[in-house]
Amino acid sequence: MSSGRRTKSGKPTGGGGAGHPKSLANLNRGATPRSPAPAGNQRHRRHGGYARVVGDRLDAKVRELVEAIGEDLPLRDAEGDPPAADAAAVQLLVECLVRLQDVRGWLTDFGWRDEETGAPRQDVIELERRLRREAWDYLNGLGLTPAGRARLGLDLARTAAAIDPVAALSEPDPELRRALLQRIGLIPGREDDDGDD
Amino acid sequence: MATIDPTLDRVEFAEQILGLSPFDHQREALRRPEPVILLVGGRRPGKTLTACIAGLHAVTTRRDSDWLVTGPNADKPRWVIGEMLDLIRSSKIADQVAYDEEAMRLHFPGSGSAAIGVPPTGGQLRGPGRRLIGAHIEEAGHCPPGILRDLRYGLADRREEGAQLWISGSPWGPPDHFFHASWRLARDGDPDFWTPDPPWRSEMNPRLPRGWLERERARLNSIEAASELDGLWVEDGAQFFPRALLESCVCDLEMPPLLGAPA
Repeated sequence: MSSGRRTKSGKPTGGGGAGHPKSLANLNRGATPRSPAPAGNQRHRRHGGYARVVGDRLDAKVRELVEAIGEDLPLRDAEGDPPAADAAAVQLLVECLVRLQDVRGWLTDFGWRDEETGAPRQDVIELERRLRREAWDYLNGLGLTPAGRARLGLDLARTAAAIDPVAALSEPDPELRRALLQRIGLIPGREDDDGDD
Repeated sequence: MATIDPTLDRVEFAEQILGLSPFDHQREALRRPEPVILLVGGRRPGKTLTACIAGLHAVTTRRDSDWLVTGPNADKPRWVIGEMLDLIRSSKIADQVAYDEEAMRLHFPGSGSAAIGVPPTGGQLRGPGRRLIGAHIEEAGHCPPGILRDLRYGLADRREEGAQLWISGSPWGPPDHFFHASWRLARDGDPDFWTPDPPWRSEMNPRLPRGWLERERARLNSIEAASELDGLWVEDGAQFFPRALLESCVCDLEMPPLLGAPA
């Protein structure tokens, strides 16, 4: 039987009891004032693997990726950019690469072994492995690996055969229409446009 | 030179999709935006072909739309639809059309649109509905006079989308016939009508042998040559008094009551 003083509710003080003087201290803003979070708040960040990728950072990475892959991206739109239909896949790839980069950075900073126990940090290592695999899948899907490019080539041929030219001609969206017409060879690609004006 | 979208330009459509190279006078007509295009000319300058290109462009670049073809009798629209089919069969979209000869119908499953030949009767042409994106009246001078009235209001629904009426033929028909009357409107600058000025001459088709054309002209009298080869309206030359003179001699008079007649 406890010897502590009991409150009216019957709960003892301490351990969250209503009568303990520190029980509500963490909810009292006046007692422990904190400075507001700075822009790009990283206070709660651990290794960044699950961090939400913010827009401006993603945009920078998208630009970096698009510039890096250059002419290697098999599908291009009329302006020579990745087709709008592939934008979501490219965004997923970039998000994945950003997270993978963060995890690698964390491992570089803190090592792959726990500083106290010396045991491998299995959770972080596993996360890095999954991110690598995920990125590889996206790269394959976009035709940015040799095998993916070969498979995509077959798919493209099948797609071109499946597109009805008149359906492409009557496509209401001008950008999509132009991309479809180029894909099935009804109008020249962009490289053919850069002739004498 | 940058490639122009063939869906937005009928000349590019003819070149890139149909594999044709329209003559300069045809290019001008194919790029006109007016609601009514009158292709008036002599024999063989390419009037029908130009209208066929316009029709094929309409039904392959617009979804769920119809292009009607009519003429002076039931056989003429069938012949024009056959011409359109021939153009498609020698094009890059040769396999994308279904042809129903009995129904005089070229159907494009990819766009859901069709070119349909119809006899020149009001029941066939009146109220064709919102699918109508254009129509072609072939040999208009020989068509029943009510055709234009039956068609023009049906085309108004989709005028903002570029719906057009193409009227082709050699100059023929009395002044009060819609073909002649429409040509005068176009000549006089009505913004809803356009016609080539001067009318297309046979010699504008470079495929016609020049020597043969000269001999043909020598075989015809001047009035026939003006109509058949130069595409000119010649009713003044074929009648004793010019029409303008006759019209200037006519005026409305209020007749006085006859004596003894009831008021």
